[in-house]
Amino acid sequence: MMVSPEIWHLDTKVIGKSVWCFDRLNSTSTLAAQLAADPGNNGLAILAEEQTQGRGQHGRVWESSPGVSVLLSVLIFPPAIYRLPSLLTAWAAAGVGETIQQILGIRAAIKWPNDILIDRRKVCGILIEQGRGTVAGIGLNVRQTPLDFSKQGLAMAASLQNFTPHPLNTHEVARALLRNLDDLYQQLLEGQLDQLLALWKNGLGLLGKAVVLEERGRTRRGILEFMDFERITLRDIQGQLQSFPPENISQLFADSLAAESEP
Amino acid sequence: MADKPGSKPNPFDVETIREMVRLMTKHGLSELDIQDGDRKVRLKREGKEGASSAVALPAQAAAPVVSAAPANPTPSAPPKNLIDIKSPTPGTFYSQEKPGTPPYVSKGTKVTPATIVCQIEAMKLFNEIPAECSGTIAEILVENKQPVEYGQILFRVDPNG
Repeated sequence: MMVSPEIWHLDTKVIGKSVWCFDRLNSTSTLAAQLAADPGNNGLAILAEEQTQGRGQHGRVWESSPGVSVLLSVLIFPPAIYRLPSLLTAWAAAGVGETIQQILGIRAAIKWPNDILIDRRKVCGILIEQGRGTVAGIGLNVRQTPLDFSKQGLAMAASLQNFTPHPLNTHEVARALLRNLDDLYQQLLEGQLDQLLALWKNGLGLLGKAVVLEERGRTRRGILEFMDFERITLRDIQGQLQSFPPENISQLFADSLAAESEP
Repeated sequence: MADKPGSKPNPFDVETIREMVRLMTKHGLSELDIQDGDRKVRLKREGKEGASSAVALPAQAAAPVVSAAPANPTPSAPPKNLIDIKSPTPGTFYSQEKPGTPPYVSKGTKVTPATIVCQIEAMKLFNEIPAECSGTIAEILVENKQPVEYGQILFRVDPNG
């Protein structure tokens, strides 16, 4: 049986009105998914200082030491029309990006589809699972030292603390993150998607650039002409426009060969 | 639409149907089935089937695909009145919760509306797909980790099985 959590109530609209903070939990997302049986838990946030069975993508284990990361799962019940992978992934990534901007004054990058990078190093992973409700699991590195990462063999990982001399506190970061997720979620529910789309586009930073796009096992190259939550449009070398649903795109990144092959 | 959030819009509300038609037009869909409990609505759009290049199927995809609906009211009616379980999103089909665990269902598994039959992953977002009907799994039409289209039939369920 788990130890009863410390409970916070943030003055937010939905997300974070109730936050359960555990010292130690098997997985914040597993608990949130169990609580999805009750729609009354809409907006509930689960935080843990430490996870013993934190989940990464498709059953992989997400490593964490106690007290150095924000390990957060948010339970929401968005209307069916907003349960799009593109929209929900963009919402979570934009929430993390805004939090990093506020805390560090740095614009973080989004690596398609759901990693957050600073200076090309991963600071955050996002895993969203939808069953009876939608559970957004966010693991944000806050206080790890470069030595912590090198011991774990994670050369391309970083924490927010690596980018500021000012000491960071995981609870303060978590509260800021919950407020940003709540703000953006309100916009989403109201159908106001402009800011969310702008944050997503800026985070990816690929519009108008030469990109490589992996679409259902096919590699395509071209200029990224247009993107929204329903289609991504590429102009190929013959000038032809081709659009793809974001859900079919597994990878999208800047084409490093394109610059070199320019005449 | 296969999932059941706690507070989803009533599918029989005119505004919701209008939104569904807009999404169908956007994605070039010709047919859409919506079910809420035992109430069902089927939306069909005439003409321009498969016109959207955005959802055109790549040539190498070996999967059976939902064909554009002909005028016939029971187009590709499966034999023995089997019920189709379709993918609510494009993505990758996962038959098991994680590698090394048994599949959610196999041929002959009894299901109820809440039984999870698979997951569909798109953009690293995992959707658990409930059967939304009762019966026995009669056919499994896709393989683990296979890409699937919006509306593609994943399973056929024998309601009398």
